Amino acid sequence: CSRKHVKPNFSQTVLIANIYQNPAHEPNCALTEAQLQEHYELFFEDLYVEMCKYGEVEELNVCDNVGDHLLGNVYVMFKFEEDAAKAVEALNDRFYAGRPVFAELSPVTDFGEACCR
Amino acid sequence: PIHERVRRLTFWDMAPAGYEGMTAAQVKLTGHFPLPGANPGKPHAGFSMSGGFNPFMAML
Repeated sequence: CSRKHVKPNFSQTVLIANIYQNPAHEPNCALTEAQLQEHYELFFEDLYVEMCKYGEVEELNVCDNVGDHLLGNVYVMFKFEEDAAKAVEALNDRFYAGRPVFAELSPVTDFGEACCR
Repeated sequence: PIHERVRRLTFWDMAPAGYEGMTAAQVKLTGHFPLPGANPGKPHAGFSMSGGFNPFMAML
């Protein structure tokens, strides 16, 4: 978000910024709806299975918004704050699909209410 | 169990070409992989693959 949000020191929720590269946003995307869906499902599986290594995952959201601050963002809510903290630390020293991973704790606790006004 | 699930593909720990041997933290410090919005006015990897690549594309 372009607003200044206070980054929490403890949270169950991890933000992985811009990790989902939706091919639909590329200028000359010629993929069909079915191919885009397949692409998304492969990504989701790869992500979800990996997150489970860090702890029990309660919820996993992939942003479809195209705003710069939300583009390709993934929010992973763990059951335990300790697991989220471990995940952030570990993920920040990993790569995904040829790019470094940018992870931080997010203040979001309820995705239904996660709308900044 | 989830940890035994076989993934159809995985892109974890795939370093950018030319940056092998560097840690992710070191690669971020180069500034070559900014997040969208980090450099206002400049195109970014999310919309233009010219600076990077999207390995998923090869799978489809």
